[in-house]
Amino acid sequence: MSGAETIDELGALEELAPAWDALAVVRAQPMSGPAWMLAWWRHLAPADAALRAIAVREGGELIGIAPFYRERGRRRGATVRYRLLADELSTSAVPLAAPGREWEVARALARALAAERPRPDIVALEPAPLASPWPLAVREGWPGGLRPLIVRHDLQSAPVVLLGGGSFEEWMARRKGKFRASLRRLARMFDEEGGTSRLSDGRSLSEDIGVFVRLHGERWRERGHSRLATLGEGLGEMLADAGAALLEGREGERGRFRLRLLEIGGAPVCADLSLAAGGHIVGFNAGWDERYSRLSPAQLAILQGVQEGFRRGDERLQLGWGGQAYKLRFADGDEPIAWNLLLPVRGRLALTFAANAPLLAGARVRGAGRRLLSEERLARLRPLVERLPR
Amino acid sequence: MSSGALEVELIDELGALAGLRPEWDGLAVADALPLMAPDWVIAWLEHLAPADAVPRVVCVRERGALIGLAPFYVREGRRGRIDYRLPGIELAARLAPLAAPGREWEVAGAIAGALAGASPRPDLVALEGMPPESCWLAALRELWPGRVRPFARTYHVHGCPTVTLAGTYESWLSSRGASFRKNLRRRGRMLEAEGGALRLGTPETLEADVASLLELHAGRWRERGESSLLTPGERMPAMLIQAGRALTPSGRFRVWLAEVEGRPIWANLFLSAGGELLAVNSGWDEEYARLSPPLLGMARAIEDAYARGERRLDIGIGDDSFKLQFANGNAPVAWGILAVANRRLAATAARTAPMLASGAVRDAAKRTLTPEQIERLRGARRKLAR
Repeated sequence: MSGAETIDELGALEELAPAWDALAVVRAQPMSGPAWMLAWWRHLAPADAALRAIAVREGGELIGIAPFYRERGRRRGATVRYRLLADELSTSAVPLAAPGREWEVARALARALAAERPRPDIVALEPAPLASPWPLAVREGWPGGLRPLIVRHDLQSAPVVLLGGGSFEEWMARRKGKFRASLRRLARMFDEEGGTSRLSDGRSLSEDIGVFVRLHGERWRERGHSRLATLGEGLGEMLADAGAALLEGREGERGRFRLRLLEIGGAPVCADLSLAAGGHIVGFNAGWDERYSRLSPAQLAILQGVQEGFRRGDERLQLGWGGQAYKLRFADGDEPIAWNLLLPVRGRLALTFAANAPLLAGARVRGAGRRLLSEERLARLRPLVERLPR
Repeated sequence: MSSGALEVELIDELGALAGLRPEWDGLAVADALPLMAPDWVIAWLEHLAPADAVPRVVCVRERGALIGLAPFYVREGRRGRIDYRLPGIELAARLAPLAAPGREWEVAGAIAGALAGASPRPDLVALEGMPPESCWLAALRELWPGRVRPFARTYHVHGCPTVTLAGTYESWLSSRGASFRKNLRRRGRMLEAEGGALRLGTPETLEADVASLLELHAGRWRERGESSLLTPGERMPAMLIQAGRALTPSGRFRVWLAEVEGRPIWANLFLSAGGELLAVNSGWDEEYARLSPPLLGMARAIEDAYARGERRLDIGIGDDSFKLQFANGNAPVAWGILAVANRRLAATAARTAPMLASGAVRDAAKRTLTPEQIERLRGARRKLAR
């Protein structure tokens, strides 16, 4: 292995995009690919963020990449945090490595991170599938006598629909009878009201993204906090950038930006966005018009996403964080998402803990709440819980 | 989930496990965990389990279908600590509970509930040699019933070189260095010139092959210290023959041998499930070192795995140079514990501390010492053991 190279220029990172994207496809990680992460960097990255992507090559070939940026508070001595691009809004974000090379790549990443100046106080590997080896692998590969601490400060359900090994009809037959009847009834009502559904394409992309942002924002205005709604105009610009890159992908890779619009009489009532790579579809978010709540547009959008996945031969659809009842009715399993911080053991460790106490305390509160409170109480408290630092 | 409630059963009778075999094996294949196949685990429980070990196999069903299984055994450890473990870590690593793909989290919840209510109550649940990407340790902790979660710790990680069997055998071979290929060809010619050949064991040769494997292994380890393959004595061939009888016909229990004029000079046991091939252990006659039989044999086993369409060979624990010349990846295994927050937690912690401390010392030594220094320390430990 020729070792790791730290990239701090956007142009240099953009040059890696084809090889980086190939890794995202082979690892089935749609939100860790260049289209999504670079779009975030161009439109939503904090002004004081510094690009610190680490590329690992062997014989000139890219075998691993960890697209980090460095974030540092304005105060003197503030925590130096290395984060993955777009982690603040991705359903899941991970470094990428060629199959079987994760631990070697992690070792190279760890050494590159340890050599960074200013030194990282925190390396955030989040949100990532609980089954991801990266936190442990980077910890084990860290140079020196003392390994970093791993702090898992949140864990959330991520229901999945398994699409492999059968047809849509067979999958439907495995749902509960009552649920199937309910879906059929909703689809019929939607048809009767003149409902249509379509996936956004290159021509309608810009307008459709505007609809997604508007519907999401309107729905959450009355309901409390939404991390997307706080991003302002940059969100639409970022999604348009990522969408354009993914809709114009190479033959066989198109359709990786799946923005589904449900319309009644030509007026949009729901917009649902997922990203796909390597047979894995990951739900991002949705917005819908509450005046049409009788049609449960979010459920109809998921149902159509499942159908689309079967049609394209995808393997799994992850429905995003949260084990809400409507998601669980679709799901065949759960692949939880974890929020992990790596804290290198150095003189500033106590200071880092102190500076991040609200975040860690918030996690404790969330964890205890999930263990001790009923579903109903949790649902009532959700807007408050969403405001806790993450 | 769309599914109904899960049914959980805790089995403590060896005899009751046989009926689970087909469904259990389906899970081992789906999870690609050869060491968790029922024929291997049951053979271990029947022949190698400590005398005071009792099975505590958690079965998780949904509408009657087995979707999860955790073949724990329980044993009273030192000073009364109650340990739940998975069988066979002394033979090879990559052990984990089994679950239908995508169902790990729910199955873990069911297993956690069953273990928390099991008798005797566990003080410690050990997950030794588990794939680090498996979520079992975190899931069992998170889903353990009660207000206080168990204490969980991953205290040791060990590298396992792997061969990802992508492309063809020829493309893998060409990805190795020219000197490796040249050496392989030269040693192959030498073996042939001495009247030698490689062969794969069959159901008919099973007993003789297992005897050869253990004899060659013993010969090599006699001077080198203890080996977990030898400690059980006569129980070891009994276990291997039982597992081999069940798994050899399907090609999932493979003993590869090198012989010179009919005399075994190298033998290696492999287990396979769901496209994963695991090198369990080997032995060879050092008198034939000039022929490098392990090199020839491993390359032949890799060629055979390609022909069978397998996906990966796990060469086993240890990053020694012999393994690294074949490997194009590494898939470590991790050792973790779950200490249950019961009234004996302090005593459990005190009794577990030496194990955790020795793990930490071993890891710190590996991180700070040179390979030569580590080898010298190993030599000194072997001398002391004698």
